[in-house]
Amino acid sequence: MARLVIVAPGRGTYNRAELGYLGRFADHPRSASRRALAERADALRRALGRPAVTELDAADAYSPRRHLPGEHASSLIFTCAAADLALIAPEHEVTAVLGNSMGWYTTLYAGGALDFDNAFRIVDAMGWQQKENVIGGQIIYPVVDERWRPDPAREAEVVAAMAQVSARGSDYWVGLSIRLGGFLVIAGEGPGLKALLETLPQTTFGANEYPFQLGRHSAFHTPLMKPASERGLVELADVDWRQPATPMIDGAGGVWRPRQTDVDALQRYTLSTQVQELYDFSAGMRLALREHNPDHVVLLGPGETLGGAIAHVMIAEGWRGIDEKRAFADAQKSDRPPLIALNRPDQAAKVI
Amino acid sequence: MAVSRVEHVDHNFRERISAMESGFTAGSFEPEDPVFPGAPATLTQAISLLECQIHSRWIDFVARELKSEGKSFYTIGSSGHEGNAMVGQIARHTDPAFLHYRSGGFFFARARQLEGQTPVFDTALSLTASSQDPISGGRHKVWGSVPLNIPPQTSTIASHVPKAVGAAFLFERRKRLGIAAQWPEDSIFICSFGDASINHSTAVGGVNAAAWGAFQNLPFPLLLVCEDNGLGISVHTPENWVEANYRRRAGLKYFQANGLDFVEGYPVIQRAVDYCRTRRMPAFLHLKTVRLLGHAGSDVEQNYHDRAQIEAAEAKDPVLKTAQRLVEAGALSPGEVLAMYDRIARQTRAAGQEASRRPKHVTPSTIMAPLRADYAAVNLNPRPVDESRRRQFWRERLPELEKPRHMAAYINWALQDLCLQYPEMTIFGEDVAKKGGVYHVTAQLLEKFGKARVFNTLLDEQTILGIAQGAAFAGMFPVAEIQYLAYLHNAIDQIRGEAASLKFFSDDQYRNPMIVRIASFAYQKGFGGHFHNDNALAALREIPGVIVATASTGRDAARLLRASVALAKETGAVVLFLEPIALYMTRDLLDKNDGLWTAPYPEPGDAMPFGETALSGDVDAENLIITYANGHYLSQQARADLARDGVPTAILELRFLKPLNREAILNAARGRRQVVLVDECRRTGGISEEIAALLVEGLQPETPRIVRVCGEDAFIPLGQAWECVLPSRQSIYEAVKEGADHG
Repeated sequence: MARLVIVAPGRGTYNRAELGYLGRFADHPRSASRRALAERADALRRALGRPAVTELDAADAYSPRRHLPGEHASSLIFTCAAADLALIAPEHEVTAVLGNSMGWYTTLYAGGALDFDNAFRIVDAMGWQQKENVIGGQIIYPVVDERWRPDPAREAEVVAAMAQVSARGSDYWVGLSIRLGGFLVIAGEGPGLKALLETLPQTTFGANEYPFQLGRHSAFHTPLMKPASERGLVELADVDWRQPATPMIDGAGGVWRPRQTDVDALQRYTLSTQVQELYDFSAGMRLALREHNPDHVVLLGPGETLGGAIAHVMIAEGWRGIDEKRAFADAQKSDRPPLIALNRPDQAAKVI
Repeated sequence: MAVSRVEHVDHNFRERISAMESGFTAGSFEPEDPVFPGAPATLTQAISLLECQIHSRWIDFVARELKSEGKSFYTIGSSGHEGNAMVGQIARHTDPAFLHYRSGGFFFARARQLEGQTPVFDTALSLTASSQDPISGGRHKVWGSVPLNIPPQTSTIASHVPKAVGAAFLFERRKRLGIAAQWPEDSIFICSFGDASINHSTAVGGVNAAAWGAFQNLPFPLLLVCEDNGLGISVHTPENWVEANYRRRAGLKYFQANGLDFVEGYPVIQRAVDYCRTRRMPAFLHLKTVRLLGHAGSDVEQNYHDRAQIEAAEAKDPVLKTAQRLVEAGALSPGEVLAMYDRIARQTRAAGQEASRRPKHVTPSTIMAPLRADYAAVNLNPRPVDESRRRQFWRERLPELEKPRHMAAYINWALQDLCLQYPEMTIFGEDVAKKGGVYHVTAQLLEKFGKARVFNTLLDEQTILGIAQGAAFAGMFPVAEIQYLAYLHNAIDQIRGEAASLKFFSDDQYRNPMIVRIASFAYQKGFGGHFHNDNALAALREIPGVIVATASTGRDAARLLRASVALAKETGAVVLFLEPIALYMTRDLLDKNDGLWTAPYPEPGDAMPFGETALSGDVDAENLIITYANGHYLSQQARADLARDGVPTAILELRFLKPLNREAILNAARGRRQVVLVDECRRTGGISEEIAALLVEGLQPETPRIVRVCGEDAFIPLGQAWECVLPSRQSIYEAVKEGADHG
């Protein structure tokens, strides 16, 4: 038995390489559960006249126009994550679950506060709201050095740039959207984002150039999302909330515990607070590492882009002595890798 | 042979909960439903309470496991006291709490009130003395947290009670002055301690002070939590001792709560907290507990208790009781309880192993970091003087334009100027208010600044210093007066163990800046005897991190006081400001009415730079006297005599006695033939020891002849006999002369 913390990914994790993700692990003994979830997702989508997730997943080619927008990506990502969760061997102890951004909805499912249908409804409804209705956008920018260690000077530079841009007037407002390990995700509307893209120094981090704007993302987790929140509260008023079975760590470092959760408050947090306020994934991850000290952090698919952010938090925390990128890489090669991405079959084998 | 009771207590819990399996019937509860009729805890609160209690229990178990692996260094635990989790749950996390070492349950319950908290791991870091321990930086195992408003306490003798009393008192008083606070206005202050430590004079005095104030209807929103397990290590508390003493104590409202059974205890604790919060008066919460697992890991309880006694206590296990109550009510199944218990066990063990691998201190530099401050860089005028307001205050008769006066007047004027500058400054001590102090140093302060800021305390120096710490905590700036240096000694632990150690044990996250004015030293011409002529400095000198300052003239005293306030405010320092009583009224140096010991009151803004010394006399002479306070006055007289007799002499006066300006001393002494150290304090423990060592270490092999003229290792006798044990004009003259003649 291993002690696991489960992490659910957010938007932007289903890319070209993830096409056919739901078809993976077909030979696994629990693949039937995986298929059943995908079928259920399809049924729920079809009932609303929307393309089935397996259809999207089984497409001949990846199409950013089709796979990237929220109305499809959210449900696809959620279904992949839920399908991965079904593989986790039951002898392991899941000490806590958390997620990044829309991964919070997956967290609610993984933690047992919502059943699959209800969680899917929220994901699908909030995602569908984005259809031709993208409000503002998000920019991502690194605030760690090349060895993935926190770089406070760089962070101060970003904060100063944000203040400078916001000071130009209300059209230019930009705000922190997500603390994502070694990245800050900053949200705003057109003029502000454009100004910020021009103000932040160009930098290369890993294989990518920063800053860059995330495709087809709204200004999630900011007050600009208030209309989405209000619509969600109405559309999703009849969602059936339950007591979680596993502690769930939210985007403010709060913990929702089994038998101790005020489900009305959980609904408000989910459909209002976290939609309109900073999502601090780093704080939640830090709490998970420090307080749960799991044998492995298990990152559900699709993809594994969140793995970098998780590693950044491990490094910032010095968790298990991991103090930089190389130490993380070395630890990953050990018998007890700190991070297991279900996207990687060799790693996944340890927990499924 | 030590026999751990961990296995017994653990086994007992598992056995008894498992045994409830057969009779279990699940109930139907919503989270907000009360679990028991008449008991206000909801299902959510009750389950959370049990989890917190189990967390506390497993921290104790794991502390011992880690110790056996050589990884943990502290095993005093909370087992048997987990009922205090009720206080942690019922009070708010914004109610400042001064906790004793068995408050694990409280800590875990309070941590649940705020997002992002990691109490299990934080405690494990503290147990393993990691420098990453977020509260003490690995300097001690404490319960503490800045976000949870728990300043760390290291006291084993309830010596944190006076500061809690002071904080509660000044928090309320602050409201009358319009000083902002960092906590909600209806906050209460919580202070926990044991039934053994409440016998300690400091605790007795602290509780007495709160009662003394409340008896006069002064508000004290203070919840005193006496966790009574009936034992002080191996010594039994007499049956009913705590209740008999405090149930009908004037000024205190007594509540007795069963800490072993939350169904009984919970509503009482709620009432106590409500009483304290709404009435703003002190409540004494007598929380009945037991002590499990002995006093600490090293304590072999079998040496003084037989097995029946130990097992009787174990049968009262409060964690077991909470779990049993929840199973009986159908709120949790035995299986759920044991699953929770095992899950927390695994979590705590994992935390312990991870914490034990975290960094430790390996150099004095990181250990001592909170004790250091760049005093020389401090802005000595952080609050500019409002000139027009000041003119109005002094009614256009500005003190610096008055004819020169003596030291007592200048300290008084400086205090007035400072009170004007710092609205948060508060002045208190015995007789400081209407009487204006024994030497009138605080005269008129009450009239000018009101009783909210200037007040008399009861006759208890521990309480005075506790009020100072509490005032600083509550956001005021305390200037406490200790009437005589001798009176400091009955309360010195309030400086040494409490005020001075706060920065150290909180990793500089908590500070209690303060000035302690102390009428000091001897030379009162035979009056007063040893209590009023004390010259014992050793107990102050050895305290890490404090500033000890003194002046010999009125002008310097005012400059030094201004600097002391700035240093305390800016660095959080505890400044011991020693005022030489014998120089309070002194105006003349050599002849009656020569006025040589007076000078104009310093201009506003003229504060003494940190470390300032003064070289005077024949500055290039072969002979140098190093001295301070009365010794400086006498040395100036002796210098005149020596000059007359053809022995030129330089004098270096010190004003900062700790830390010493080592460089200035070495520079002044370098190249001299003789250095005479005139130290009116005792030969043993006086400052001349350190200076002599410094001169030898710093100047060898060119060390000058060093002679000490010191106070003898005696108490100061009554009457003329005092002259026999203290340096005099004559003895200084002779010491310098002898060296000059024969050196």
